[in-house]
Formats: sequence, structure tokens, C-alpha cells
Amino acid sequence: MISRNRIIAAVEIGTHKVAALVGEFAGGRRLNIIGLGACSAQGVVKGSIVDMKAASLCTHAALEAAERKSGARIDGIYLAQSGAHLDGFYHEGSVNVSSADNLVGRDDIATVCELARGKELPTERSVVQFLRRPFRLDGQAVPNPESLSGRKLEVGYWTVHGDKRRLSDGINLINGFNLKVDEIILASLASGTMVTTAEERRNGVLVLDIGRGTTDYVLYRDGYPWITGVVPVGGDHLTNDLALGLRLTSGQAEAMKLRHGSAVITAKDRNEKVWLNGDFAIGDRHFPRQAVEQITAVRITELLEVVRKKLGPAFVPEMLGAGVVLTGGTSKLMAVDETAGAVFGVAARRGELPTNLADELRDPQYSTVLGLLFYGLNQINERHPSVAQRRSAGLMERFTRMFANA
Amino acid sequence: MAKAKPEKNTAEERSWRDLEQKVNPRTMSAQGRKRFALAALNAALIAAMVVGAGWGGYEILATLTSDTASLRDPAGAAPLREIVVVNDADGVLDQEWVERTLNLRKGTPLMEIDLFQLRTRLLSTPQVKAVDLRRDFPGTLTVTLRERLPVLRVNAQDNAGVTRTLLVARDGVVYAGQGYDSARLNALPFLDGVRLARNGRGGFRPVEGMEDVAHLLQAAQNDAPLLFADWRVVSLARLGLYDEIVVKTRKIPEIVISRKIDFTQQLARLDYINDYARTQPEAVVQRIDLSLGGDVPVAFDSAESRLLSPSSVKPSNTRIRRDL
Repeated sequence: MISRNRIIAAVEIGTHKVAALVGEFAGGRRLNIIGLGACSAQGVVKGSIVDMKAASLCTHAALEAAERKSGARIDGIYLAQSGAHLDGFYHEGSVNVSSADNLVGRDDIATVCELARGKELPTERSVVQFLRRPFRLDGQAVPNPESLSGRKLEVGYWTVHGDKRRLSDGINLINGFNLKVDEIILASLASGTMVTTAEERRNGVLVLDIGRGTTDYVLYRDGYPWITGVVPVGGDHLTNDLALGLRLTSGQAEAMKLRHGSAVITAKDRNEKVWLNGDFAIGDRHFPRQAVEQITAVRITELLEVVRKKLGPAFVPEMLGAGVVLTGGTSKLMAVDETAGAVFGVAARRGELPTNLADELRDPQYSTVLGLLFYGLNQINERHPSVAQRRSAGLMERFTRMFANA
Repeated sequence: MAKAKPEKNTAEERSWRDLEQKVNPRTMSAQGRKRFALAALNAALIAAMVVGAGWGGYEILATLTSDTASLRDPAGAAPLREIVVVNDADGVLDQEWVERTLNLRKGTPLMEIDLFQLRTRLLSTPQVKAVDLRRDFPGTLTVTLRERLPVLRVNAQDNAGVTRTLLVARDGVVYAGQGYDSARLNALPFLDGVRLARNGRGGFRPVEGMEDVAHLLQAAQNDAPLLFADWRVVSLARLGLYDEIVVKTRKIPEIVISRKIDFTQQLARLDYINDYARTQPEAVVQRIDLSLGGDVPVAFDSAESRLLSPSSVKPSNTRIRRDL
């Protein structure tokens, strides 16, 4: 059971940056965000740690900064998990309702869940998360089948698993700061929680978190996460292509992407130029705008098509009522929503973070760490609803209400 | 041979939570080491506090649940080994009397001794004026006594009608003295002229006015010991009405002394008259009245006796001479 005022840090070890966001879980039902620490990532490529020492230094620096800013001692860590090593599969189980009166009991539910999660894993893999889809009772989807009447109960799980060593790397890195990892949460799920509403998830929505090294996606249907995945392609690929195509350094290409990159070709005039630095100093050069936009647009379109291809038959445009929502640092690329709409054939938009957040946090690059805390809070309330209910009707609160009513 | 542990294969059995979470020094940064040291210090402090609180609680519980005698005797059953008596220089009650009166067995735990009861027991003897009892660990009971000192003797009948000689202290308490030297008691004058009232507890009520008498006798003993040696009876019959103390000696039947006049002056005049009378062998003094101040009437017993000229004592006081 979660204790009162537990201090949790949400950590995302990304390819571009390491972010640590400290939240205070007050009474297991309210979240106060009290500190942020961020640091440029080192030793991380495509979401995987390749240099433990360098990654430790920047992660621990971010954690220390967050702890110092929050003025509180961190009790545990919610770690975002991404990387190309993650994979998933769907498996379902079914049972015949055991009771004579055909009322579904708790044992039936436990059995069917166990069956659905019981598929064998490849060697050297560990489960990261089980994502349950809705129960089906005699073929009809029901959110909670307990005490309903039926003959056959079915449920399916989307099981996300990852390489043991890659998972251990992230855990060891946190342990090196003398902290334990309380939860590992998929980065895509965290982002999806933050940038979509429950109604959008019920209507069906695809969330794409396009980072620098990876693109995490989650497809929601009927309010449940249906499919998740990671594509090891991100904003870095745009930068690399710009560097190769225009013969620039990585830093110059990154600056060019941020300043003039676009997901659609807007330049009609082939002679329209854009300057590299814009200061007309020695070394400043100009390039055709159309060339810059063409490179970035082609690459981002490719990236989106890869995602669509990976979704496969699960992607049904008719079942995506809320369309596509884009987040992550690369989602700031000009007209990326337009391209996404064209690729997926549904409405697309950039995700927006809640307006009650501090301006500093209302950047798409923080959607994952914010989502980690909110997803964690939802999980706690789902696991321990009694805690939230009991705490919500505390003695002091009852007194306060009494006087307020009077 | 040990049975091989079955390998976990299903997804449900192989969660990331099964991965070991341990602090590896190689993955620790400087910040991590600092945090680890602080956490270790914190844990040590908390452990010390918990152990301390637990130990304290255990001790309290053990004390409360154990024999209450241990509460009364926290010094670990320190037995009484010795009774030390501290008495005034004039005191006569000795160690033997104290031990007999207290009636304590050696070896009694010191903390079990009821000091209040012992004090009451000692004070039941009127000769004892005040008592202080103190436990001096490891095994000593110290008894500090203050006794009443006899000023006069008095003959009184007890309840059985037997006449006994009792003593009167400075504060008027009448008591049966014990332990006094007989020569000391024989030197004390007798009290006369008072009616002793019983106090209902087998004794007598204190005699009023004894404070002044004690002052007089003290002054006589100090300033005129030869005169005092002849004093046989001190009467308080006129004290209430006339503020006069009447002393009877072996040679003079009545010496009147006023308590309103300085005793030393009166004794000096008495000494002077006594010396003068010795030079007159034919004169037998019957009465000396020192209560009139400078004029001292002296009565002789024979017909041809004459009044001693007042002027010979103090000729300047004419008013008193006329009265005579």
C-alpha cells in the first residue's frame, strides 16, 4: 500500500536528454509536481544505454538537480522504458464459467487472466507490462464481467517484453544512485496518458511520441491500449540525412532542421534560399529551402509509414475516431500533423499538455515524464481504490465539509 | 543430489520485477556514493533510536511487571547494618536507648524502613523534642536527636496515686526524665505554686510561664552559681497576678523576683544583700523583695530585727523609701 506523501521521481533516459520529474503522491490520490531536473543525454543511442558510466553521470546529475529543486528526498523511481529491444505479442485465454448459475465469479476472472498471460516468452526476455484488453462474455465486450451471467469468458493481453540485459542496464543505472525502481512503464503509454483524454481513447486514437532516437507508439481502442511498439527511428535520422545531403556537421544539420525543417514541401520556388547561420559571417552558407524541406519531409513520411506498416491490420482508420496525436521533441517539426494525416488517412494533431502545468513543463519533450507520474497515480488508484476512497473521506475533510455546508 | 529448480518460462512468471536490484559500486557516481553514505548514516541513526526506544520500553515494562518490592528497594536490597545516633552535647539519651526504642532488626532492607513511624515512636518520649531520621546508603540509618533539658523538678501524683518526681523543661513540658545523672537532678530546684493539669494521655499539660523561669535560672547559674546552689524551690504562685517569681533557698524563705526587671540586675542586688547580711551575724533574713527595682525591702525574723536601711541599697530612690 502506498504511504502518505510518497516522493516519486519519473525518469526518462532518452537519446536527446535525461529528464527527472519529482512528484509528491499525497495520500495516494493527489499528485503535486515539485521539481524538475534535466540533463543532456550521453551514452544513450536509440533509447538503449551503450555507455554506462556516461549515462550514469548525466542521469544522476538530473536526479540530484530534481531532488535539490524539490527539496525532498526521493523514495522511488518510475522509469520510462523505450528502445528497439522492446517487442510485444497478443495472447488470449478463455474459460467456461464454472458456476452452475452461470454467474461469473472472481475465480473465473483470475483463471482467464492467468491463461491469457501464460504464453511462453523467448529466452532472455522479461515482461515489461501486461496490457489487458476488455473482457468478452459470450463474445460481447464488458468492462467488468464479475457477477454477470454468461457461458464463456475471454480476455486478451498485449504483452510487452524486452531484453533482460537492456532492462537491467536501466535498473542498475538507477540503483547506482541508491534508489530502487518501483515501476517500469512504457514511454508510449506514459505519453499517451498525458496527451489524450479518456474519451479520445474510447473513440480510438494513435499516439506517436517522436523522440530523437526512437518513435514510440500506442494504439488505443475502446479505451484500452491495444498495441504498442517502438521504431528505432527519430529526429536524429532527419538530422543525419540533412548532414549527408547538404554536407553539414551534425550540429549544423540539427540547427537547420529546427529552423527550416518541415514535414511538407512548402517552397514553390527552387531558387528560394535559406541561410545556415543567418549572420552572414565567414562560413555562413545558403541552401535551397526546397532541398531542406524535401529531405525532412521525405524522412518524416518514411518514419510515419514505417509505423503504419508495423501496426499492420490492427490499424483500421475507421476505428480511430480521435485520429492521430503527435508528441515528443520531433513533433515540433513544421506541418508534421499535416503529413501524419496524409499518411494515416485520419485527422492528426499535435498533443497538448494540460494548461494547469507550469510553462516550463508544457513542452512536448516532457510529455513522457509527466505521463509517468500520472499513469503511476492512475495505477495506484486502480490497485488500491480503498485507499483513495478512505483518504477522500478523512476526519478533517468531513469536518471541513460539515462547516462548509453549515 | 539437489533437484534442479524448474525454469520460469511463461510471461506471467518472468517479470522485470524478478531482475535483481542491487547497488553496484561500478555504476555509482559521486552523487550516488554521497547519497548512499547519507542513507547509511540515516539508517544507522534510525536503528539506534529504535533500539534505544525498544530497550527503554523493555526496561519500563520489566520494572512495572516485576515485583513491586524492587521499586521500593532500587538499591538492590541494601540491608540495615548500623544505626548512628547524633545527639546534642547536653543530651543523655544514648545509642542503646535509641536502638531499644526503634526496635529494628539488623538486616532489614533500608528502603522498607518506615521513617515516619520511627519518628513518631521516638517523639512519644517527651524527653525527645525533635528527631531527624535519614537513610545513608549503603546500610546506615542516622538518627539526629534534640532533647528537652530539665529546668526544674516537680512532685506529682500519677494515675495510681503514687507520688513521683518529674522534670519540667524550658518549654513547660513535664516529663519523666531518664538517663540523667542524679547529681545533676538533685541540683535542680523544685517547682511550686502551680496546679498541674492532666492532658488525657497519661501526662500533664505544659506549665505556662516556664520560659521566664528558665531565663532566671539560666542567669542565676551563669552569674551567681553560689546563690543558685542554695535555691530549693521556685514558686510561680504570684507569676500570673503580679509577674513575680518567688524563690526559696536554704537560708532565705522568700526571695521575690520580678520578671519585668532584668534578672541580672536583680541577681546582682541579691548578691550584694547576701554579702551584707553575712557581715551581720545576728541578722536572719526572712524575705527579700527584688521586684521594686532599686529599693529592696529585706525582712528579718527577730523582734529586735530592723529594717535594713533602704539608703544602704540605693539611697537616691525616695519614692520607694516613703512607701516602705
